[in-house]
Amino acid sequence: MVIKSKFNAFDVFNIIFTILVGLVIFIPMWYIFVISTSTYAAYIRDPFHLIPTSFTLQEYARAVLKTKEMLTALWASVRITVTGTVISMMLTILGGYALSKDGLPGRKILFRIFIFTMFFGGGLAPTYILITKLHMTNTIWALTIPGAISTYNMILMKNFFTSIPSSLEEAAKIDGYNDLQILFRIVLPLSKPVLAAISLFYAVGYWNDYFGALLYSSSQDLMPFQIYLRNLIIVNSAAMRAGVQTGPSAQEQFKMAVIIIGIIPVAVIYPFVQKYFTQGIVLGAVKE
Amino acid sequence: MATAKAGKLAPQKSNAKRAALWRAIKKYKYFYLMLAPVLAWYIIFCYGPMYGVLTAFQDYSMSRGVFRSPFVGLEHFRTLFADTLFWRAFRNSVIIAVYRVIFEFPIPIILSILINELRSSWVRKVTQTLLYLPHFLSWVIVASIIVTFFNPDTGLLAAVAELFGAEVPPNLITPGSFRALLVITNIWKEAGWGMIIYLASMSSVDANLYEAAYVDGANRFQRTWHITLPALRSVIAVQMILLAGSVLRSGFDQVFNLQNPLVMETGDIIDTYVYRTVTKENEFSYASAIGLFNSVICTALLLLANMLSKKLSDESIY
Amino acid sequence: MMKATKHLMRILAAVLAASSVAMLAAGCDDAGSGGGNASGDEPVTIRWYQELRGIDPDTDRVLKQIEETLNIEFEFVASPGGSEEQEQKLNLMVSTGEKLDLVTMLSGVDELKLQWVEDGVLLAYEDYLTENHPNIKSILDADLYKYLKIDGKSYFKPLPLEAGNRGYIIKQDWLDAVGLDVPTNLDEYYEVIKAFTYEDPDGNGEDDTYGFFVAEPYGSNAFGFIARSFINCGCWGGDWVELADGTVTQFVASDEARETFRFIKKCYDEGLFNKSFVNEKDAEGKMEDLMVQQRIGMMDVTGVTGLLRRYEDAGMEADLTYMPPLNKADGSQGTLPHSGGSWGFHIIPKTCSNPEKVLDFLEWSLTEEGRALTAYGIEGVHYTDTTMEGDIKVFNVNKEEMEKDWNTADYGYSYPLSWGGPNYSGGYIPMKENNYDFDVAYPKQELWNIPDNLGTAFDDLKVRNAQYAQVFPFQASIDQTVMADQKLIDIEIQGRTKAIVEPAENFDANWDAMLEEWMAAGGAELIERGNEVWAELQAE
Repeated sequence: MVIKSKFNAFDVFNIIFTILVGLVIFIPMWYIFVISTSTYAAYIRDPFHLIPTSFTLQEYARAVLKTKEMLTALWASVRITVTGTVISMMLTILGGYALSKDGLPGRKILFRIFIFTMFFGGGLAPTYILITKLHMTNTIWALTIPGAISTYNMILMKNFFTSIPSSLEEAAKIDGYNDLQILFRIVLPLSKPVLAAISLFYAVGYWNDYFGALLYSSSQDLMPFQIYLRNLIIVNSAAMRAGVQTGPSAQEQFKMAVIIIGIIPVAVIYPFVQKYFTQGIVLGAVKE
Repeated sequence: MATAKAGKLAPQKSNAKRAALWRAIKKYKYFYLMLAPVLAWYIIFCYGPMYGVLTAFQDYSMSRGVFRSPFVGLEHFRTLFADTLFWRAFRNSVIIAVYRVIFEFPIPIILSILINELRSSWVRKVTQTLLYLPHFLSWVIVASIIVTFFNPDTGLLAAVAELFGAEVPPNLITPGSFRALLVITNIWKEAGWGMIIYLASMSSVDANLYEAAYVDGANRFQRTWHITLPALRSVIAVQMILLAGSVLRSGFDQVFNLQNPLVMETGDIIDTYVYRTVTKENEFSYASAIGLFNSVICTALLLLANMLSKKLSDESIY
Repeated sequence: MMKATKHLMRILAAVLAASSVAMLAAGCDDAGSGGGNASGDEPVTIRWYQELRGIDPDTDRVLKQIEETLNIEFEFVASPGGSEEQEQKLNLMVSTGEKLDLVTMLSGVDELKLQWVEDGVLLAYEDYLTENHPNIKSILDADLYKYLKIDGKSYFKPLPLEAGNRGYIIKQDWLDAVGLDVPTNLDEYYEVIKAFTYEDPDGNGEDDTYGFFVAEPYGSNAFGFIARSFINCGCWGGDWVELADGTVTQFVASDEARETFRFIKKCYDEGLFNKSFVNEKDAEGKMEDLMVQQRIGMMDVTGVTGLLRRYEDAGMEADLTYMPPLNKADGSQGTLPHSGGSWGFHIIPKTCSNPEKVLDFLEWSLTEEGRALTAYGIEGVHYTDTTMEGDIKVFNVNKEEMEKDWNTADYGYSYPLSWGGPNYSGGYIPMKENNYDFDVAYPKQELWNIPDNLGTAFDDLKVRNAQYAQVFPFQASIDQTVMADQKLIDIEIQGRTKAIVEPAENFDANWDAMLEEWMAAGGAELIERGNEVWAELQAE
């Protein structure tokens, strides 16, 4: 079965529109890239240029080779992201699935208990004291467990599970599966797109987080990339404002290079995740 | 609610109910097993520190802690209600939130549908990836890029304007343009990211539905309207309800980095206001009072949105 | 619904009870984790809250040398940069009683820090100082820092900073091109920036230059230069000025401020500086780039190393000259900003297990030996020897060795912790040589430098700045009663920015409106209070 439709005005509009949207996004990103590969002389000649007039990777080399700080930071980020995402997904799947069962006694109360925390929290100090008392500071657990569940993601997950036809689960019951087996053998394989999306949400959340590390980690090994980036971009100014002689402040090309380095990992991973979103679509609408 | 109703009934019926409930709980024992670690997490990490809300009613000092700081009752709330700068920030937050709901919210949905309709699969993939990248730039960087692009002498906008013989005004971030700027830049940065959840939901639509519709002679618009959109209905409703509950507190990083002293009248939001008072004046209790006030409003909004959604579309988050 | 809420409340109550029990239980095993003891040969551990700036404490030879010399062992609590969040972290650690022996605090003494003192979480230096710590005592008892004492005790030990830490430079080649001299008063200054803007000083045939550049919306440096040709002041918002009759007022409320901004308004309308200044955020690096790009003719600097390096990277010659502050209208000398004498503080939390040893370490770091080690590393390793060039002590550095221990691309050829670490910034303050009288020693600060920076005409930048640097009333004071609150600062900054960018004919109306709002929001009382405190201080 193949769906064919004529190439019409809508397609023309759609393509032009997509190209325009793409350009609006692309130009600033391209600008960052061009500056990151400029020589200082070329940057100085024209600080705003979109057509490269020079090409050098020296800022990348400097970032990767000269400062091992950055590599340590990248490695810390990878560890935090992977560990955190695994923990988060486990808890979110379990919670989301259980909550998707309408008949579960106490479901509504639990739901309210969870949602309540989206709006009310104890604040920084009590949380900090808790983490300290649990002896979690300076471990990877302090950077992953306290923020493990996003109620928002759990609701999305629950919402998705609800939409799975219950006939499938009932059939599995008859085959003698218990509820845990059903979850892992029947439901999860059917939920790849939403699992991919929510893993991505968590992974990116961990990747972008700096506040946790700032509070709970005092060792260089657990300082993630985002902190490195922030120090580079924001912090120098505090010392400079005070009028203390700091080292030469980072040049624009170096900052841009570091920004690109920070984007590369997520840009590389996305196409793999994306595969799961397009699966259904390929089977359906656009089989040509 | 089974347990809640039980109390009202006559004893013997109540016993029967209790037995039924017990059977139900037994039936769902695996689900309680699944919920146990989740509930434990919420109790320890969310409710454990919850005593911190008391600081809103105290003259709190961190070194004395919650248990030794003196209570001042509703004093901070009285100050709050008399604080004109707070009300200005509150008003701005509300207006910006409304803008966000109207203009930002539908964009990812429309974009995801349009991209879904693109014929070439590699164009679709490239566009998706591209659109998603700006999410990973922090607002500090986006703000500095905006300043570079808007620069009246050297920026891209100046170059484009020159082509048309026009001139860029010296400063484009003004009280009049600020809120629009917030909306536009946020769309630029986050629309591609926001698409993901819709794309994920679309991809789980049963392909047979499309084929059946095609056989019935439905065109692409009709298929989108009658199949794709209904499939997204529930996720759209959930997103909308959650957005309603969070709009007042979103966007600190963005606003803070784009703000300048000229736009405070229209652009100072609650979070930036709290940031200035707390970091510079050690007013933790005051900030916590504002936070509590904020939470109450947000919760009310969430409940309202949830109720409306239930009435109108039979969708709700719980 | 009602029932459900009741249930919810009951569950919440149970949860709260359970968690507070858990908290109490967790609290019990908190005691008794004291560090090493002073006696014996075991090195004493010093747990130090300190920015590490890329240094690896496991391999860094300078730190190892310090540890051996003093029989101590550092355990770093890395603090990531001087941001607002860092403040939060420090506050959490200090106020929740986390074990720390020493804290380098790179922020001012504000209400929060005074709260620490009030709540007793900090140790007073005087309780532990002995005759072995003359350098520390000399700093704590200095007249310059007397405002830091609280009931006669010191909790915050300042890291001294040169008085004249910020000065101004101007392009000599541009001055030559437009046929003008370094300006000495406001009229000449106006002529220079106008010529820089309109007479194509870089000779590229394009109208692409500005007289000066404003790097942040407050304009504290660029606007401050102009303001200080009217009156000695700060320009951050909320700063005090002393009037001719000996009373004080807030800068914003003075006539001089109005005239300053009237002049700035004129420059703005004529396009003599960047009109998009409100959107700049601490764009110091950008300003250096603009200098190299031949787009602006002058800037404020704390040092020229970075700027000269940019010139070098671009393959261009720098032809810069020092621009002293402008004379006032009556011909008297204008002023430069004064650093207030310090940047950052050392504090010792009460969790410190061995305050004497911490003081020994701080004392040693203030000796010439300690200062040299923390500024340029180990003699014979990181630098070969020292020579004198006039007044300047030159450290002949060994770049390869330095490269091994720290990132010289970012921090240059001086130890990254040479400032804002154990020690102060700049050269050497000869306290010992001046009978431990800090106020005498401070202006005699010895200049230290490396060969690369010599012969740039800016060797003695800070000395020249210091001639003009002047504190303004209550600068660096920790008396909270004379501080403008955030609301007042907001009104001042927003009002003066508005007066600059709105039509010229509204300038006075805008200024009046701002002043009226400012006075009503508590400004009037602030000035009154300030004068009371000022009169008391003058009487002393």
